Amino acid sequence: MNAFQQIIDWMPTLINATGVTIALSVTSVITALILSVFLALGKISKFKALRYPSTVYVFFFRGTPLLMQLFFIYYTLPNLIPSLTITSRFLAAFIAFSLNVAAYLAEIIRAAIQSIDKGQMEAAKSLGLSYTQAMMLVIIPQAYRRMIPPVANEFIMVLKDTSLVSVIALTDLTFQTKIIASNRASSLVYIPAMIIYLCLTGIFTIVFNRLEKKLSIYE
Amino acid sequence: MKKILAIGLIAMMSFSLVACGGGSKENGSSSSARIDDPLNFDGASVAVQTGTTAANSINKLKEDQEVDVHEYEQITQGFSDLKLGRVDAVYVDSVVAAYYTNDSKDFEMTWKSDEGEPMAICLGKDNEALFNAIEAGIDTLYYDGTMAKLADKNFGEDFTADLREVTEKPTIPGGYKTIAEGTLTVGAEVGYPPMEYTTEDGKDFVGFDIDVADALGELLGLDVKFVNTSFDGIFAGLEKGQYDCIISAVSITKDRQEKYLLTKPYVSNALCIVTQASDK
Repeated sequence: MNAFQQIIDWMPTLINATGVTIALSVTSVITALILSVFLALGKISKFKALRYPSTVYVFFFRGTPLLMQLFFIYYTLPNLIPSLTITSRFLAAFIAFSLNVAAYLAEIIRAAIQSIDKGQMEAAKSLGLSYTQAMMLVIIPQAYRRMIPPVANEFIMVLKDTSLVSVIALTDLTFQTKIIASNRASSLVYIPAMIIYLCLTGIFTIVFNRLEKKLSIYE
Repeated sequence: MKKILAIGLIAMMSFSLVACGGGSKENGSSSSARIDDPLNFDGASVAVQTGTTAANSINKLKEDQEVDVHEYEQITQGFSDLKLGRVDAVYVDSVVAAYYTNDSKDFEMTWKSDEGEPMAICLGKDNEALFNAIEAGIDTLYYDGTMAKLADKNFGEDFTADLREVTEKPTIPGGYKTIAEGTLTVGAEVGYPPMEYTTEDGKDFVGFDIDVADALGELLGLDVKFVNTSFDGIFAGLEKGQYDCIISAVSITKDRQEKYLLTKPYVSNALCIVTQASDK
């Protein structure tokens, strides 16, 4: 009973920190989605001027650890270029996560677009649609649905990867849990923290399932 | 389709607003008042290391003041942020404060606690034989002047003076056991200069505690092996038997004395406030 009381006492602090976890993962995934559409279209573009930068971008952000990107933006950049000092820890984390996640999402979107049968594009073109029209009206609406499961997967990964922000002293759910564990010398706090993570991923899984069903009515 | 897009954009914009709002709150508030006392922390952002006595102390102060506390896994990052102006002050042990403020144009020490918080070597409750051997070992280091030499080498000033009066050469009792035979396994959080940190090439551990551990190992006839552990989990590691003792700038507190065996002090220490140098 005593342990239960302790867990109840910790809840407000933990839920406060959960706010950072949710805000960071949701904002960065949404920003990354927008960015990644351009990256994906760039990667499958015929023009080298679009294809090469996108390819290099994805190569760089997938090829280096997120932890180091976070360190780089928060600690290294201000030392190289003082005017790029980001004082807000949240903003620094948001930028690092958005840029990193965009690289992964770009590949997901590219795969989804290329999984649509070539005949669709040919048919659209033979009906007199331009490339842009065919993409916007025919290909992307179909690719939408196929993107949802991998995007959901990526989102849940990001939700848990946000625990990396402790390196820049931003207090998210994981760091708050560690702080409580060390201050009170009690490792019981990991139980409510894990339950909160489970609830979060549970909620978002349901949301994505609904979304998938809704978007697949034509299949 | 357009509706979904519109909703998405609205969500995105509101979230970025939230993000910016959160950001401005976290900004290192450049309060003009000089922070020269923990009672003046009101409105300031202060860096501490998780699990240290400074963190415990500031969390108590938080009950009466509006302090924007930033907990770090390593205090070295707190000093990086202080230099960049992201925090107003670092609340830290005086041995570390001295390391950063001596010969530094960037930082200055604005306050030092009158209440000493000396440091000790920490062992598990059930390890009395080794405890006695280590205690006698420290006495020996004081007796033959090694401690003063090591302090001079690492601190530039003698933080070990007046802690112990050893007039007779102590005898080191035997009969102790270590986790690995013939080896003293030491838990330390390497990243706390000048107590324990790595050389510039990152290969070797150096610092006062490292030297003390090596000297103790020599006296006890044991090899010394360091286990690098983060400080917020260092006591849990001792309980799990991952190392024989902690030699990692452990301040003596009542709480710790109840749970573990702490030697008599071997380094004097007190909490300090470090800020950016005022003439900068």
